[in-house]
Amino acid sequence: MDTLGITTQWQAFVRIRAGLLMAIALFASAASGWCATGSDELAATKLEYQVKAGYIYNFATKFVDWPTNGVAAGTTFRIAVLGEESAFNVISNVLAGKSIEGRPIEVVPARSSDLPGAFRVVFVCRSQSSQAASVRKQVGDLPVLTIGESDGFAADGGCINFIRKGDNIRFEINLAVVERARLKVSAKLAAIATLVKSKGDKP
Amino acid sequence: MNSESAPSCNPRKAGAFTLRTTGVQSSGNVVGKWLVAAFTIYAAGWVYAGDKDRDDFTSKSIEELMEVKVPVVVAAAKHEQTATDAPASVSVVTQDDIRKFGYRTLSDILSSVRGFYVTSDEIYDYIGVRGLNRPGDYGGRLLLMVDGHRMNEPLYGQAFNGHDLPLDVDLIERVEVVRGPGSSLYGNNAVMGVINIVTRDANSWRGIEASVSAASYESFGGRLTYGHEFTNGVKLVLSASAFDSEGRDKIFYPEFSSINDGYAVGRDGERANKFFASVVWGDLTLEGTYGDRRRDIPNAAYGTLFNVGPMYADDERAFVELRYRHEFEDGWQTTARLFYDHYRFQAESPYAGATPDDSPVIDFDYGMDNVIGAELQVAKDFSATHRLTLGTEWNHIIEVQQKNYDIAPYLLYSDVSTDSDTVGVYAQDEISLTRQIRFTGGVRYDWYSTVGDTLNPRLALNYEPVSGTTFKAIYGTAFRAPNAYESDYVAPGYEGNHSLGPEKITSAKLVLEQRLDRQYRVTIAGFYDHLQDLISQREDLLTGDFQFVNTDDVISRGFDAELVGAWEGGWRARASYTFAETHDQGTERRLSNSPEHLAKFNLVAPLWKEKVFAGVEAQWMSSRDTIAGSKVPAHIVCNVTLLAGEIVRNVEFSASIYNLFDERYRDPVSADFVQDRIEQPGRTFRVKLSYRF
Repeated sequence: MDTLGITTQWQAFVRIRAGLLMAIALFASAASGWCATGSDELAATKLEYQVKAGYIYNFATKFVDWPTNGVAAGTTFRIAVLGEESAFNVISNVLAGKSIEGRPIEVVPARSSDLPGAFRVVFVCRSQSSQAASVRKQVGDLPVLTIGESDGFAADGGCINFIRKGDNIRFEINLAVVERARLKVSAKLAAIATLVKSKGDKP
Repeated sequence: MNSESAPSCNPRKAGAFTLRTTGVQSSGNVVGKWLVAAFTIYAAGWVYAGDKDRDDFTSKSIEELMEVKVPVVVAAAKHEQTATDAPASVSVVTQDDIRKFGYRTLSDILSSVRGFYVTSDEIYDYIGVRGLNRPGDYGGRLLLMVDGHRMNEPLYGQAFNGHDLPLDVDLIERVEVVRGPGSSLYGNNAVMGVINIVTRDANSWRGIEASVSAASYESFGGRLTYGHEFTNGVKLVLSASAFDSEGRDKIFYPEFSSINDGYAVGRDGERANKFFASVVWGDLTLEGTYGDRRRDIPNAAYGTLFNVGPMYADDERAFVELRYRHEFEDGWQTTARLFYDHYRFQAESPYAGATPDDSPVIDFDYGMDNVIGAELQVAKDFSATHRLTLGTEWNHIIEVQQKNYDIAPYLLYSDVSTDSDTVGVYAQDEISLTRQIRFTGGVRYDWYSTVGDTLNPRLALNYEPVSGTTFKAIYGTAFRAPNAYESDYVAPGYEGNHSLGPEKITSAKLVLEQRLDRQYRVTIAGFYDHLQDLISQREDLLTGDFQFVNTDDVISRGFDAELVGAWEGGWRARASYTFAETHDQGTERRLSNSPEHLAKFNLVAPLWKEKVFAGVEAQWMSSRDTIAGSKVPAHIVCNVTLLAGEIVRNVEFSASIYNLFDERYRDPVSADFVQDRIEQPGRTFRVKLSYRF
């Protein structure tokens, strides 16, 4: 029976060559120091962050007013993203070339340790939810719209938190926090959001 | 269930923008900034729909955004979550992969998945996982679903993988592969894993699309699909596909060299027709699919005459399902399904007459089953960190019929009809104990009117100590009830076995998913599977007949590792390796058709302006034992696909070469064959053209 399994020299050569190709490709992928997100995962989360970027744009252009004093100066509308590269990339792509109140949007990847406070919006990704407290502390009562996507982000003192309702992405607003930040949220936004209170506040 | 296609954005704008923004970022070095910039170009360019959808999310109103359906993995926990959050080891193959790698069937898709391997006996394709792919049964250890609807039918427990799957792969949005036992949610067949096919949403079609393909051995395929969302919100998808292949003119089988020099001539044809329809209206979905596949059998399986016609197997599979999903005011998310399933198998096989001078006797083998069933599932998020899912499922197998007779002179060997009921009840609780630790516990009770009851738990712990690192520890059991073919089939040379019991698996798995430098992604998993009372085909030593029996235990242990990456401009690659040591505890031998090593490599290379892509894949498999105790040598298969989209408006063209190096390899086959191995096709090609009206 095993005569059936004869491997010709040519096939052996081909196998070695294909194996080599594979090894080179593997090595290349390991050696080049910047592989990105896994394809399946990226496909799964890309749309999610596109939608969230759309929300952020909507919030900033139509539904939230920043006070005239005390806001980040500069010629650009700066949005900080704390989180993984893939989320940052998707969000910055969606907002690329857009402007708010005549200021070009600038999306900046940031760390919680070095938030300079020069941002209008700080978006804290799910993966950085443990940094939420640190972000809150740095932002204090500055007019910064803090947006999260993790359980309890708004109840813990964030302005807006993305939540999932079945297939859809919706959001919670903590109006007390928004007020403390001297931001004005339109009644319409409050109407379509799920309103949450800070932990410890009376219902 | 269906998801919107992921739209793309403008890569040039995005790249330029990021260069500017990274110039002012407060952390990172210059190289890092350029890397971010380059990666952004890649991220913008590498998008599933290519140039098709240029949706601008900033132009959507907040109301529109609220209605966007976001795709996530469903199959692991029966509700949507991202792959990293899923309480299981999950792989996803997307529509984009299907197009860029030129996948023709589900078999092609699963061949690329870590730890999976596909073998063929020229009649059906069989999916192996972690060293387990038993010649002689029909793949009932993997649960296959289409949009959450069970495809394994009760006669053979078959998961359809080739052209016998009643769904054109072009209609697939993504395939979710969840490894490990899934009986705690899904019941029967979810032994080695659960595969859920999610079909494309009406919106992803944007009207009418026609597709034609031509391939080696006079193989032609065609598809016509219509997808539209009407202004009243009703979504409609209609699709029809046909496939016809003459097959190889002649095939050489050395075992039959005394007959026609060992050549089977003109016996390799295959034909398939498929229809799919879905209507979504608010919370209601009505979905149905139908497929009929006829495959000529050239290799004289089942002890038939060689190179004497007619010999074929014909499989017809259909289902219709009405689905209702609604979230009530009090937060209970409800899914209800009502479904009807149909399967029919028929085969004609030529056997020798009483004397060598007699003309061949044609045997007719017929199998059929009809099932009606319902499932009700409710889930509620009691808090942001606690979710409870409860469900119940009922299946009434109206009839399973198996009939076998000689056509002329008419001689009936068997005509068995049975009916049965199954009921399942399940519960799953997901709770975040801390921000880092999430626990998922589930249990399902199943009752079979044929083989009694079984209880299957599953526990999973997800631990994310730091961002980018996820540990998963998973323990569970699962079962496979003997199917009607295994317990009731009677024909010349085949005996039934009414004392056959279910086989059971106990499985433990540790998974590490790690991002390195926030950029690499590596998955490493170790597994230990203990299968008890494995159902295997054996030859009765007294009668010489074949029979299915609960054999010894099997232990499979090993590990796999996967590295996924992507580069500037749309390059991406995936490499995986699986080691599986799968031994029969009785004979202490490695199982037949069980490769110790699997290695896979997939690469997408953008060749021109994000419009032309090359998809290259290589799949290496180490040697395998045959049931005769001999070995088939290791082999490697390389496939290459060139995809060109939107060079001419609304046209997509692809050209594929499968088994590029014409590797001559063989797959071990079951005791139904004289040969212990069947040679697989050498180098073949396919060209395909799609046009959107």
